[in-house]
Amino acid sequence: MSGSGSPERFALRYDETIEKSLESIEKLLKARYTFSKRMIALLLLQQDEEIMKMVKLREREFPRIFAVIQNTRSQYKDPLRYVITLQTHQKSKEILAGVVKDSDKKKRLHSVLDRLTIQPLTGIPILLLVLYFGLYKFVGQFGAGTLVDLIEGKLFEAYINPWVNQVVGNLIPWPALQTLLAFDYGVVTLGLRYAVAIILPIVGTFFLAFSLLEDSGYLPRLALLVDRLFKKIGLSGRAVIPMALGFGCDTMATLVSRTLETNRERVIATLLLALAIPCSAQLGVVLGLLSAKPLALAIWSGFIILLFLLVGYLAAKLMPGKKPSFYMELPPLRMPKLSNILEKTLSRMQWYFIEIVPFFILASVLIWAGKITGAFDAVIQATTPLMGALGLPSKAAEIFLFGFFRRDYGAAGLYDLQKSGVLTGVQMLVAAVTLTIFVPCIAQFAIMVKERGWKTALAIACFIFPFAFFCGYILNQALALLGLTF
Amino acid sequence: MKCGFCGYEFDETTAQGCASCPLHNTCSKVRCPNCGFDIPKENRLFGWFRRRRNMAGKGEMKSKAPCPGKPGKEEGHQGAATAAALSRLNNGEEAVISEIDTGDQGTLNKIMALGILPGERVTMIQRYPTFVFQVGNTRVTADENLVNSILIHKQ
Repeated sequence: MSGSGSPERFALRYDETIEKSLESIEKLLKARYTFSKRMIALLLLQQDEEIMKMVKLREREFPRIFAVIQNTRSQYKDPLRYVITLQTHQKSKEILAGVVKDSDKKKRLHSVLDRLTIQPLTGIPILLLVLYFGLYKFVGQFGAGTLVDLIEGKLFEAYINPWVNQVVGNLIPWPALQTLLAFDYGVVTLGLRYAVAIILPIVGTFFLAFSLLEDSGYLPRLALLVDRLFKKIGLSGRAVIPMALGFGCDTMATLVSRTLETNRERVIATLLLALAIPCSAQLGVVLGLLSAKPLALAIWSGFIILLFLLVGYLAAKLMPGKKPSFYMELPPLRMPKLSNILEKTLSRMQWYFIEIVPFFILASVLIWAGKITGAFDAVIQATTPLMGALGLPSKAAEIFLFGFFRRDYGAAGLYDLQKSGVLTGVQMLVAAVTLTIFVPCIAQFAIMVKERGWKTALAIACFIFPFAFFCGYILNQALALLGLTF
Repeated sequence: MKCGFCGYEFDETTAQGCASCPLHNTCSKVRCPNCGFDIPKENRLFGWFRRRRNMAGKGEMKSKAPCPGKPGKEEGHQGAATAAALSRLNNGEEAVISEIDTGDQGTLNKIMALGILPGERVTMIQRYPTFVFQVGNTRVTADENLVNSILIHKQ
């Protein structure tokens, strides 16, 4: 591969010092590499860590190579990577000048919109509009309201569930097996119903809205608007992307948080995702349940936002490490392409669906097993005092238990509970807040362990678990003290 | 702003003459870096914003100095005497990048990866809440830390 056959006139020559050391390094390289020795030598000079490690392992004469690198480095006051990049850039500009002509830039309408979205004075109102229409109207009211009513109420409650119950009741003689498949906690009537009828429409509408934003190039603008605020909580503006995605699925967002630069940022982002970012199912259900009570909705969102900022601020104070830096390329605003959006939405929904259905079925089976053995009731009994402290009926323990299996499962449970009419306005608000903060679900926890390691994941979970109930307790006491009812 | 006593013009976001004073965070005065005269800030609200911005750039005071020429080593760049940090550029102004502060390897790599290199023309688009500027055909948004490592000379 060495001595590549590129045309002579495009051959890139560096200055004499670099060319000389390249030559001597090339001579010292004895092992075989998958690309040219000149390239290896160049990367060595630029202190590429991976190549450094590889060459160290393969070459017996590495100390001599290293001496050449050190010697070259000492001849420049700037890092060699900078020197080499500069010379490459110079050459590329020369080539470019011969073939490309710049035309005068035209002013277009969207460049005005472009400016409006990045200035705080106009950008923040635009952001609020995007949130209102995208999140509240589309996901909250259309997804969690209209669509869920249609699929859950019209399809499952009216046709599928009675039909499944009847068929199972007629065909299967053993009550234990009957309750596994159908009735209150059956795999089909509870697990599949939650997955298909409550979660899917909400997640689907969220992913549709998110893909639309992603494709229009709006997200980097959002990042630059919130950068200053995010610096306060130890994150850079870049973290807005996993955070925004967290409103869809925190599990997916925890996975995406690996794109953040420093470990400190990743840990803070993971903590905040687990604690204060409700996933789309929770968000949709809470928005749907509380939308009739604007004050309750305001208290819920105010409480969660406050918690997000407070815990983030404290985490940033406590966590050691370098402060984050923020830089991003800012693409122009573009008209999103419908085919792209649909493809992204569908692939995300597919990922999500494949991810959750086994968990939902597993949760159904576990709950069924718990019911049969009485363990389920025992746990609910045991948590009754805890529920009492929050001012909640003991039946609410169920949704927290559900929420432990899947965040969205708990949210769906809350939806069911509210429909049965056992909750007062205050209880609903307390339950909604506690459930939002409460545990990262099993799937999210698994990803936290995978991405951040056992120690961090456990520490985060152990912090959140009591903290959620503590917050619920405080909120309940505060509401009682103020005498608020909804 | 302009000092009312000696007439020296300076950027109040970088005037940190009294940083060691325990009261300086809530102090309503600016100290002129030239004569040391205390000038009252014109407006509390603007002052609040300015303090926010001061805080953000505090860690990078070295590179904020108007001419961070490397002492001890001669510098061949033509405009080194008039070089300033990119953060000094006002909205809509154009300049040429003269040098990148190569002190911190991590920051340098980020800047180079964005195609920001000496000789490129740069236009400031927005300064607050986060810097937005155009280099070549690329628009970049970056925080104060990064922008302070890019040195320019105005024409």
